[in-house]
Amino acid sequence: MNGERFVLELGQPGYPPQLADTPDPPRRLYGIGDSSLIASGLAIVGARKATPYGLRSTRLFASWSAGVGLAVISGAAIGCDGEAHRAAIDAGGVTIAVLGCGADVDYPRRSAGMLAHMRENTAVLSELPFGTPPARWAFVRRNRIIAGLARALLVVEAGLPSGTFSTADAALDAGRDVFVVPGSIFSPESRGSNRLMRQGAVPVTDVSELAEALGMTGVHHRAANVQIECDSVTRALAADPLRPDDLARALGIDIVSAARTLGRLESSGAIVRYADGRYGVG
Amino acid sequence: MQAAVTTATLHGVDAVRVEVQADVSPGLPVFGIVGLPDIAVQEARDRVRAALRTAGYEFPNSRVIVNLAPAPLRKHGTGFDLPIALAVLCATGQLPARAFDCVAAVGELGLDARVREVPGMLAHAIGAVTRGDALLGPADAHDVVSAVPGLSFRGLEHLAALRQGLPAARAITEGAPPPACPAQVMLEDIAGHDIAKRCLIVAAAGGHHVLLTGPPGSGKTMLARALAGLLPPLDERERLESALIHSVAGLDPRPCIEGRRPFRAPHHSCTVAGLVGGGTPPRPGEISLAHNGVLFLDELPEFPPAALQALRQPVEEGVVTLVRANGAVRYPGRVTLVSAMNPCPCGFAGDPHRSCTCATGAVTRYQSRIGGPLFDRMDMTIRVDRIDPELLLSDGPATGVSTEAARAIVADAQAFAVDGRPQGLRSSLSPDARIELQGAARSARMSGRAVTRLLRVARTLADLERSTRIQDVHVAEALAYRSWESS
Repeated sequence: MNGERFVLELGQPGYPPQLADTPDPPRRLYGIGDSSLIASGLAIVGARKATPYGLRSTRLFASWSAGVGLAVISGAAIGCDGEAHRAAIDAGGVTIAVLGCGADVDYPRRSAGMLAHMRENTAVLSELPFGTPPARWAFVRRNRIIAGLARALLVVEAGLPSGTFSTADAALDAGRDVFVVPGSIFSPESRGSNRLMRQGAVPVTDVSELAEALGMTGVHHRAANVQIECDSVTRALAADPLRPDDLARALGIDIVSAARTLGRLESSGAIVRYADGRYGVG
Repeated sequence: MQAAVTTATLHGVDAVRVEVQADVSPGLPVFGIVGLPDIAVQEARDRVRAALRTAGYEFPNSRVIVNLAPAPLRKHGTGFDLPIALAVLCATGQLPARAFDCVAAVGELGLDARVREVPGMLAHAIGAVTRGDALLGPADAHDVVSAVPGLSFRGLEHLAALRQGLPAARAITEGAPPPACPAQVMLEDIAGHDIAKRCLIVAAAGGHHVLLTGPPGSGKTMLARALAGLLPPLDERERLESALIHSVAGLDPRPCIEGRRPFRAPHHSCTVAGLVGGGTPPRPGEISLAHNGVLFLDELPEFPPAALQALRQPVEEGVVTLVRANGAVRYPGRVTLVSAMNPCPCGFAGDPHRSCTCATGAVTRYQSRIGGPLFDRMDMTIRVDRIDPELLLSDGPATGVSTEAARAIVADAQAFAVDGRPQGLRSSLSPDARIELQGAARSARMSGRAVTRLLRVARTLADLERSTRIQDVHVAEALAYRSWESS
């Protein structure tokens, strides 16, 4: 833990002004790292059980955000949260984690390396004193800080039920915009995000749309737009991840040629095999 | 008076020659057995005494000492009953002194003086042929030992029959060619699962290890059973090898002698010794009983981790070595390993219709029970999902090949692999295939072992098409069946 420890008091200089304006700001913010980096950013949250699709869209938007100088704020959980932090770090941008335990506690354990990097280079925050062990209720409470620190919330992938909803509620309470990445109507992991969209969250399908929604049209960014594939197998898989049997049946080809095409496309990186045996673009 | 009769004791699958020496001398009536006998051999005293009397012989009313030479070797089993009885009969002059020269005698005696079968009759038969002896044993064992070429077998039903001299050697008849193994599950009975069926054919042709993952009730067990039906009958050498292990383990070797491929499906409560062999005296485990056949491990993560880790070396080398204080025993264990597992404790991770109720960590923990090194030894991993009820209940014929056709394809590919093409893996790669493989190995950061496994599967895919060279399409298809690297 190389970063500097700091404590920000509500009403004192240094306390993030955007957070102070929310309905229920934390009295104190404990942190490790560089407190001057806590600027208004983009909160990116999503499911822990993320699909390759969710991880891929997280990476797309997080690296864009970091690239245009918008801090990526998230909760350091495994899945989408962790991917958002990692993508921002890889893009050389600022990323801030808000934890549901003390800012010096490595939780989840698998994110320990990433948290250490952030404590040294950016900032890790919590409203709980240093050394507080993780507790279930604390993670729900910290969601309001994630939402409050950001100027907008992007939900990348959420199933049902999902903790992401509490972050979305907090964002609405604080008057922040809520954006959502639409998912397949057949994917259980996208049911939550699609429901958010129906409830009024703004769908975002590309970085230029996100930039526009954030009012950042003037900002130059690398053209990291979604690439659309052209051959029939990749197209079918992009629409909906399929098992080899279903793919062969859908395209009317025999299983051997389906397996050959899948093997070749996977090794070239055009498609990925999900842990559940389906193939998809991710 | 003294006499000696040859017999043998089992060490692994070998019958080690033992000489049974009997000494009958005047003195207080005792009957002692020396030469490291175990309890079963000690009990031979009572059986021999009763059997001799029943058969109308006389048990000497004097001092009888039986020595089993070489004395330092541990002897076990009830097969010593017959040679002990014979040695006593020769030493007391009730049978001619040299009646059993060049004969190895093995068999258990009942109190009614009938000669009964003991485990390992095949091992004794092979040992007798190697030493150039005839084998005198239970008449019931005739059809088992007749699998051993060159054996002169004297079948004895009852101890009293020896009064007419040594029983005649029955000619060992050449058995009819083995019938094709009746499959328990036919491919045509399985609806859907096309890619899994294709994998089974590849696994059968190349002897590759397969892991089937999927939710409960999706058909993993059924597919594994169908694999056993795709393999051709055992050939001459394999028949003897597999039958020998069954015989030593005290199981019926007749199905193996008939050419039926072993299919063993031990329950997951199986211990390390049960799976790879062990105990005192050492006994072959399930992997050896499945030698030349299929070892099916259902619910793989439920097996004790120690048992799974013990599988690693035998699965790689095809032989189990059990090292004990008094020497090492080797059992063969070349199997096609088929294992099945649920993707997570609740079984529904990745199921399109039911969501998984496991905690995130629980899924990883469940999968890590198997251990990366064993995962690495799976040549192919296939996801088996529950199929559409509509497809299951449709009236049309099942898709894909029938067991009959697949069996022919497998036999053809195996024949091609043996003498239709040059041996060697790397040399048969076509330039395109090499590029495909290099690209894939680099992008997936495959280990050397993973590349070799992929290459072996690709070789089998080429064999299935009788292609001398491995083409890029074969590499591509092998990639689709690749096991996940432990990441």
